[in-house]
Parts: sequence; structure tokens; C-alpha cells
Amino acid sequence: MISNELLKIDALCVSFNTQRGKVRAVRNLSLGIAEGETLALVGESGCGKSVTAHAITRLIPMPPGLIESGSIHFRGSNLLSFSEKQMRAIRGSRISMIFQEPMTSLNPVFTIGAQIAEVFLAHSKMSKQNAHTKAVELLKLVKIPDPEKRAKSYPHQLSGGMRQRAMIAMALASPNPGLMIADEPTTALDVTIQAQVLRLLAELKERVGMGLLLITHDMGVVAETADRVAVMYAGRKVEDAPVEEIFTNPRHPYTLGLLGCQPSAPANRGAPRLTSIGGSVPDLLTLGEGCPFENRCNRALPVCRENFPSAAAAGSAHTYYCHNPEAPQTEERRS
Amino acid sequence: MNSLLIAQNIRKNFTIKDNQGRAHLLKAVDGVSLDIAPGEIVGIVGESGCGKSTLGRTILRLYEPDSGTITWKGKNLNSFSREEMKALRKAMQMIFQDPFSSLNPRKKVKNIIAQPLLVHKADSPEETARRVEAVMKEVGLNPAYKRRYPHQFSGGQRQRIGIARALILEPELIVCDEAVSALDVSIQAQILNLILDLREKHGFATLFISHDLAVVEFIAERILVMYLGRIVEKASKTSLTENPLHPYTRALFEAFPSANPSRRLSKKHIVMGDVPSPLNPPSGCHFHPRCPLADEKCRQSSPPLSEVSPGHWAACWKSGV
Ligand SMILES: Nc1ncnc2c1ncn2[C@@H]1O[C@H](COP(=O)(O)OP(=O)(O)O)[C@@H](O)[C@H]1O
Ligand SMILES: Nc1ncnc2c1ncn2[C@@H]1O[C@H](COP(=O)(O)OP(=O)(O)O)[C@@H](O)[C@H]1O
Ligand SMILES: [Mg+2]
Ligand SMILES: [Mg+2]
Repeated sequence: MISNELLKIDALCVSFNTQRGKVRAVRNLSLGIAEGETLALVGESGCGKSVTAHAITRLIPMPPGLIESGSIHFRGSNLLSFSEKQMRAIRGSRISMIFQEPMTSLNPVFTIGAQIAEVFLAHSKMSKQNAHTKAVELLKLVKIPDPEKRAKSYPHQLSGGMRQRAMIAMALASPNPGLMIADEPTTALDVTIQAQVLRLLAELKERVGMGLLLITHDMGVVAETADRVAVMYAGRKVEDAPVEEIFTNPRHPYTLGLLGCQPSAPANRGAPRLTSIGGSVPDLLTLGEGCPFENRCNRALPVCRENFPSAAAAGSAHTYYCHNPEAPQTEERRS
Repeated sequence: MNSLLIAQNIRKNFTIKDNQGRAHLLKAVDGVSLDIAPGEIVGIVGESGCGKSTLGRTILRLYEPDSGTITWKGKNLNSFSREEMKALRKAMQMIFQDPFSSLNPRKKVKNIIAQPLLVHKADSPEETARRVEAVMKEVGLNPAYKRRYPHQFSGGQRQRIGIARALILEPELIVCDEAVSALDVSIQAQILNLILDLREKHGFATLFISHDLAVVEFIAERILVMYLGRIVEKASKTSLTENPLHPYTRALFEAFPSANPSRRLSKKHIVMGDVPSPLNPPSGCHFHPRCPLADEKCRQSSPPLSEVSPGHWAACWKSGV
């Protein structure tokens, strides 16, 4: 184990029992986040990103969900062995979460200021007045204009961008925010507001020194924020590498395809058509043991139907899972 | 000039009641002009609430404009006979964002796709069936699935159903309102390519509305940028991307996440502040409170959309006219 490892997920399997059968939402997933690092977990909808986040915070509804196997170590202790009481103490203090739609996690009947002050009061002994002053300071820190006035506002009185800032402030109110999990935090926001929130997250991360698990379907958001990237497809991690490496030297055909479909990808500039991936994501219920991307992959071999490949390394920090990977990009071809 | 449709100075207001019951005027579309040539793809981009959908619906006459004129092939819509209006409704079709809520869940796909035919003219049942199968093939749906219901299709396939339904009347103008915004990026790419293929084959014009600058930049030949009900810039794609003139357009480009991790937001100048409420828009140029260049003139009077260089229009006192 790396000494500064903050979170380490090993061989995690999560499934859901549904009327149609067992959905294997996350299969044999391993991930690591170092202290202070931003890991982007990226993939198209339904690939298992939110389920992963909920497994870490133990918020998977059980039943129908089941964490079948694996471990999730946070600063050395396995969260999967914690009692619900221990988990409650960790959530909102050392691990905080922000979501796509902050309205669902803010309490509509309390003011923003009161909700942030509440976090202070829950974790340390201080007067209400003091907690309120600290709440206003945080609102200022997350660049909410007129923080004294805004502290007295109710969630519905704020714009989407301001609510997301308030959520971030709340996450920062905990005494020791070691890890922040942000699940599509800017997906519902307009692009100019998204840029503000992403920059804010980056600044705060530097300042507080917390690790960030940023979940997104947007490769642009990944490019803007991540130190490292894990790409998921249909419940599996298919590639994991430093951000520059993912963009310039993707080895899994799905990663390459995902980059190619972006209308803003350099290869699509002035092109008559977008690069695209044919077909659609397979039904998780009927997936076998092979590579889930096999039916859409133009490099598929017979073996790809048989089994999911084991990890292959391309350099010290880059792994991919593919029987027939893309050729590595040489330095000259990258530029 | 050879225009299919010309909209001039279109205004569309809504009346909003506040919780004290007082009525407020919301200028959703505030004096917008645009033209579309036959077969052209015109993009409209802007953040949520700037009036894109309202403009699209007003152009399709799903909303009656409060003022302004719309001309179709040189003839003012106000002087259209009932027959001509009926023909026009065939010639203009719409594709929506959410393919699911715009498709009747209790109808078989073949009936959904055939519906515009039934409304507009009486083909024989055989002819209708033949046309439904042909259009299903064209949009990449297997005709063997024609008896299925919408929920039996994936999101991308449902959008193909919506496209088939719009296409079956062989329209001359299709308004796509956030048509790919709800789709995963790999499916989005398929649908964008499909729209381009079909346009090439059938030659319809497209008004492509999206909040996603990258999508509009890819598909459109000309782009209009909207902010709080007004057009702030319009130009050919090349001209707009290479030389954006309005500070809001520049702010959009800057804020848009780049596909390149070595050019991060932290290194860029990003615009601050929220989009103001359209119920109470700022005086003068609506963008002035967020604009780094704003001065007294910008606060006081609203700049007209003027042609800064041939075909490149901007509504900014600072754009160097
Ligand atoms: N409560 C649940 N019951 C059944 N299936 C679920 C449940 N939650 C998630 N799933 C399934 O798990 C898969 C992964 O979902 P999720 O992690 O939410 O995807 P995303 O990558 O879009 O966040 C999906 O196929 C989804 O249908
Ligand atoms: N039917 C309606 N009634 C009242 N207000 C409306 C209606 N439709 C749109 N609006 C308002 O008009 C403005 C423009 O909305 P819209 O055209 O939907 O913007 P966009 O499509 O760019 O997001 C918004 O402030 C919106 O709330
Ligand atoms: Mg999710
Ligand atoms: Mg809209």
C-alpha cells in the first residue's frame, strides 16, 4: 500500500436483485485515491459510477442491493466492516458527498446558514452564534455574493449554482474533510456556472488538501479537473491512468471511442461526421463473463467473448483491461 | 435573398404571477430576427432560460408571437389561407429533447410514426405501412420492431423514432430542440451523424437549438448566440469560433470545458456571477453586470445588433463597429 493512500477499493462487487434477475452493477472494481488527489470516475449512464459512490458511503439500499465481495479501505480501515453508527460518524465529517441536484440533500425548511452551522455544532463544541459566524465565513469562501444575507435564505431562494456552492460549503464545515465525493456536481448547471463551480472545487481542494472522487459522464469536466481518471463501462473498470495519459495515449478501445465521440475532440474539428461508436450499452442482466464492450468493439477477438482480461500495465501508473489494446502513441504522434 | 424562412423582430412575452398575485411581464423572446436558407443548418446556443425553446416554438407557430412577422418562401404567414397553413404545418416539424415524454407510451411505434400521415392526408393503409417501414429503415430502426411500444426501446432508439415521425412528411424545416442533450455521448454522436445524413439526402433546413456549444459548433453552419431573450451575436460557424466578438460569446467559449487537460480552467479567464432573472433583466446591455468591458453607456442603453464585418453581427458597444 502506498503510504499516502486515502481510499483503496479492492475487487468490489455490487449487485441488485430485481424482478428480471440479478443486475451486476459493479464488477471486480479496484480503485485508489491518494491524499489530496482528484480521481475522475467517468463513463456513460448506467455504468456503475453512482453505485460505486454509494458503496463507499454505504448508502446502497439493501435489499435490493448487495455488496457481494471486496473491501473499501479509508485511511487504512475497511469501511465495509463498520457499524451503521460508525458510518454515520464518518459521513458528513471525513467523507462528504455532493450530488447533481443539491435540492435533494438540502433541507427545504431550514436556512442555508442554519444548515451549515448545524454541521459545525455536530462535530465540535461551540456556541450557536460562533457556528453561525463560521457558516457565513464559509459562504464567503465558496464565493456566494452577499454571504450574510444568503445565510438567511432558504434553499429554494437560491439559484442552482448557488445551491451547489452551499453544498460545497457544508462539506467543508466538517472538521476534517479527507475525501469529497462529487457525483455529477455540475451536470445540471449552465456552462458559465459550471466553470465557476469547477474552479471553486479545485481551489478548495488545494486549500483544504482533501481528496476528490469526481463522478462525471463529461470528458471535458475530466480534462478540466482530474489528476487521474478511471473509465468504467457496464460495471467494469476498463482503464485507469493519469489524465494526460488518458487523453493522449488511451489503450482501451472504449476510452478511445469515448474521446472520439466528443464533438469538441480535435479529430472532429471540421470533419463531415463525428467519430462514433456503433450499437448501444448492453443489458447488464444478460452480460456474460466476457468483455462488456465486445459487441461494439472494432478490435474484438474471439477471446473477448470468453473472459474479461486481467490488468495490463502501460507504465507505472497506467492500467487497462483489454485483450487487443490500441497501439501506444509515441511522443511525436501525440503533439 | 433566397430564404426559406425569415423571422423579423419576434417578441414573445409570458405573464407570470408572483405569490402576492401580482402579474409580471417576462420577455422570453425580445425582438429576435433570423433567417434560414433552404437546406441550411442554423444553430441557436445560449444558457437555460435565454429563450431558445420559446423562439423555436414561436417560429413553428406553436406559440403566437406578440409582435413581429414570419415570412415563409417570401410570403407573410399572416396572409396564409387555411389550406396554405395546413401545408405549412406539414413542412415544419420538431424533434424534442426527451424522446420518451414526447412519444405516447400506449401506442405502437408504427402508429406513432404514421400519425402525422394520418393527420395530414389519407394514404391507403398499405401505402402508410410501406412508408413507415421505409422511414424506420432510414433512421436505423429495424422495421421488424414496428409493433413494439416506446418503453421497449433505448433512449437513442427512441430519439430515432422521434426523427422518423418528423421525417415521414418530408418537411422542409426541422426544429431540433435539445434533440441530443439527454443522450449519452456515444449515442449523441450517432444521432448527430444521422441528422447530417438525412439532411444530405432530403435537403431539409434545420434550426438546431442546444445549450451545448460543442454540439452546435459541430453541426451548424451559422450560429446565433442568445442571452436573456436577445441575439447577442450571429455569424458563420468559422467566423464565430475564430473571432467571437461579443464578451458573452467569449465567456461561453472560455467556460466550455476543453478536451485538452493541458488547457485548464484555472488558466483561463472565466466570467463570474449568475445569469440574471429574465423577469427583471439588467438595464441597457443585459450582459453588462457580468461583462469585464462594461461602462456607463452599456449600463444605460441596449446596443443594436450590427454587422461588424460581412455576415458577422454583434450587439455590443465595444465590438468595434
Ligand atoms: N436501486 C437499484 N435497483 C436496481 N438496480 C439498480 C439500483 N441502483 C442502480 N441500479 C443499476 O445499477 C446500474 C448502475 O447504475 P448507476 O451506478 O446509477 O449508473 P451511473 O454510472 O449512471 O451512475 C444501472 O444499470 C442501474 O439500473
Ligand atoms: N409557457 C411558459 N410560461 C411562462 N414562462 C415561460 C413559459 N415558457 C418559457 N417561459 C420562461 O421564458 C424564459 C425562456 O424560456 P425557454 O424558451 O424555455 O428558454 P431556453 O429554451 O433557452 O432554456 C424562461 O425564463 C422561462 O421560465
Ligand atoms: Mg449516476
Ligand atoms: Mg429549452
